[in-house]
Amino acid sequence: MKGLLRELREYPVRWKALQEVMKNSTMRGALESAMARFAQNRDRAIQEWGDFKAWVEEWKIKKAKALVKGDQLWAGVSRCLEERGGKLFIASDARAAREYIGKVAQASGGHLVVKGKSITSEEIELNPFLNSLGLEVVETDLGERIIQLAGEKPSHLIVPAIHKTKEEVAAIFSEAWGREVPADPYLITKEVRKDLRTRFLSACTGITGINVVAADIPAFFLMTNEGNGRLCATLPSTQIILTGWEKIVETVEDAFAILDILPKNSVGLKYSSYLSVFTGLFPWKKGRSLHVVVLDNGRRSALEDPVLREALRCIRCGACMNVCPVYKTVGGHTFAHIYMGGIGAAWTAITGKLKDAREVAALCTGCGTCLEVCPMGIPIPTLVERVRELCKEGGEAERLAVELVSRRNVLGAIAGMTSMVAPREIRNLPGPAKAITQERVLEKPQRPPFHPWALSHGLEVGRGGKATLYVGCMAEFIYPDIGRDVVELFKALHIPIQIMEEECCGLPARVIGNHDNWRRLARKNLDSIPPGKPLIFLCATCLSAFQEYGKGGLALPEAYMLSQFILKRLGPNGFPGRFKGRVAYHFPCHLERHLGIKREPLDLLKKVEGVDLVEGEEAHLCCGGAGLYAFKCPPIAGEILKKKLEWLEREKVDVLVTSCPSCIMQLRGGVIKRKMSVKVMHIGTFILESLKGMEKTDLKKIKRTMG
Amino acid sequence: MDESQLLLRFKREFEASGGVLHVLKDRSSLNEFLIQMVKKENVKSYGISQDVPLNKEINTLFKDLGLERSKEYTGLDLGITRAHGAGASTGTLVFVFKEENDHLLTSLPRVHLAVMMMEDLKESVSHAAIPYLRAPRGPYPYISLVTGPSRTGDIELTHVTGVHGPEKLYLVVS
Repeated sequence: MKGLLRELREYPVRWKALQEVMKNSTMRGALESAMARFAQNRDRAIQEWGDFKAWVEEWKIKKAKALVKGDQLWAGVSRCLEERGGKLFIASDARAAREYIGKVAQASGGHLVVKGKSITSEEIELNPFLNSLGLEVVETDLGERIIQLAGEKPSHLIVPAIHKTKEEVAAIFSEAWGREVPADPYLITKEVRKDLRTRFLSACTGITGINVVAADIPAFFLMTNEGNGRLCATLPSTQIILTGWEKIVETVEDAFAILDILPKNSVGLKYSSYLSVFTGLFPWKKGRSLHVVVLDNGRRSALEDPVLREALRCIRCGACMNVCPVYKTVGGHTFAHIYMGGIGAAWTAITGKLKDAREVAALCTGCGTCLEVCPMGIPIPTLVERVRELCKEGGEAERLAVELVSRRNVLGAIAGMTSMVAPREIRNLPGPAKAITQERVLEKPQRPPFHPWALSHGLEVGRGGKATLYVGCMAEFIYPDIGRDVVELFKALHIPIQIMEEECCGLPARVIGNHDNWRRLARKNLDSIPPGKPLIFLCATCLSAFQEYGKGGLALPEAYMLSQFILKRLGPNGFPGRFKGRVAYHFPCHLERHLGIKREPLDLLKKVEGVDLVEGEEAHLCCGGAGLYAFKCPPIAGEILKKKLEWLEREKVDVLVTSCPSCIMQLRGGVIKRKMSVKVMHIGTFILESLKGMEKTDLKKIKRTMG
Repeated sequence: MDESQLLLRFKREFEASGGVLHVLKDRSSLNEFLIQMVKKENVKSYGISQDVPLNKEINTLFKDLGLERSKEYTGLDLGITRAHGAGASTGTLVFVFKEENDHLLTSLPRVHLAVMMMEDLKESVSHAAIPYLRAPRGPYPYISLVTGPSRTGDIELTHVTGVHGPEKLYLVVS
């Protein structure tokens, strides 16, 4: 209770802080255009390269196999390295790694350490520790050097100082060097080359991370574009390689396969400028030493976790961040704790900081855009859910909210009360809740709910239909008109329909990690499904939850989204509907990325005569609603929503169709707030309207009906 | 892929990554290419590794041009080393080092000129590099794979070459 009150008190503080972050328009502009460029280049490079999906399937298995053998592979590497005169140290935790590296660096005979970019070194907080030993650490990657001098943290995995303008960068170096530096990337780079060259040549210790380790040679592979990595590794007499325990693969062929896809998937680069391969043999330099520090720090025990283990396959290409709507909105300082983005939540948890991990996890919408670009097939949204499940601290308000909405009777009571007292649209919530209605209004729940209406209109539970309708909570209490339209549609299509006793699909409980509740709801729903009839869903989220039941080994009948079912019924036939206007389709995240339905809704819309279909990559962006997310992180949800609405404005869309009532709540809320003329409709409603269009096709009529 | 196709593919990728390529026809074409490079890059001093094919020819020409041959690699304008292989699909050069000097020559000077034998060109970087890691007498100590010049986009994504490595990469295929 105390925690709950604290959270409610902190809630406005939190979103105010987020709003501050988002106000920094230079950062956001730079970040967004950079991410868009990376993502575009990546798509092009991958398309040209080959069969991405097949690669993912192969590597999911291959890398998992290498990880299971990890200890054995490292033991072999260690033996071989020692024969070659190097040393391998397995550090059980951050402290052990820091102390070992500190000792080696101190023994190198000098106080200057040059360093290549390494997120693993950030994980163990290496630099401050080495400083405390009296060592001077110089980051040599240009971006890392900029933020080191600025005293900041990287905001992107590949371009750490992407949030800085050239003027800011010039100011940073002007201060560091005590002379005026022009705001010119070329000139700054040349000056940095000169400055760091002297340090490369005088440093006694060089520390780098590593991209991949091939156990069979054994060989260590390091990729950079600037060429700083190879200088760090070869010029100083003491070389330290810091690598995560998970970086190992079995063969050199495997290593090259990963290095082939890494730069392409990362920023669309065919190959990085420099790939250095070290074997630990440096016969020409007497007194040279190589130390390989292999960091465990929770990785080996993560291997025991059925879900978190999947994160260990990560090759740190950063592609997931480049497409993440939340990352693009708030950047890598907010959506991170050292490790960034959704995958960062998992890595923060793996490396032992569960509470910090939960903070990161809280910002993920679960949209799954990352799923399409991860070369290792890591189910990032599932990992985020796992983090929420593992961390019992915090998130009490969220837990309470989910507890309430997952109970139909409670939700019904809340909806009923709200519909009695609230105006048709809540335009501005007061006080701390203001942010929720910043970019959208809240429509009040319609009366009566769907099931009472359906029962009084001749529909029966589990009887009399050729198919069973599952409407879900949103169409039950907030938008029962969707349910009514679908019933009418089926009547028009001459398909008898029945209903079932419904519980919440359980997804809200699952995404916050409340698995007891999730299982309870799953079992109840499964028990209520009438046998032998296909199930039809109006909400992509609900269907994806039901499919998850199936993965748990429970038998599911055939289940379809409404659009799939109608399309299947129509077969190759045309559709009698007609509608004149510009129509766009919003792909709900659960439909496209969790269920993998990419074609059917568009195919169905195309069958309607007169539809001028507006397509574009914006159709696939998350709307920011994400169930309770829009209430939990309203400033981010609002920013994400804006992009969708701006697209509709740009394209002069008349009707936006979608297949998820929760998205409708967000999208229509935004449309009303902006006083836009576009209508937001469920696909069931739209198809029904197109049938009405048989008699008289014009938008006015649609508007009247919808109004 | 036959040799000419392979070379064509390699040329495309190598040039796309920012490299400048010359396929040797005869002695005079080599000289012409080198003289142009020396002028364009304003080369005054150079260092050259022992195992570079065409070693003699290059030294003779550079002597005639009045370039200073140096064994001190910091501040050198041009480093010349042998590429022991290349991968066509990414335009990548493979360097293996037996001597420290050779690897300094590829990484420290402002401009890097590599010389490669045609038969060392392979389809991909793994084809070109793996034999050196699986060599019968054990792996080569250190292998450096180079694709174009040193580059960065760390300041506002502005493309700048020559950060810590060479700002220009030239290749003669013999």
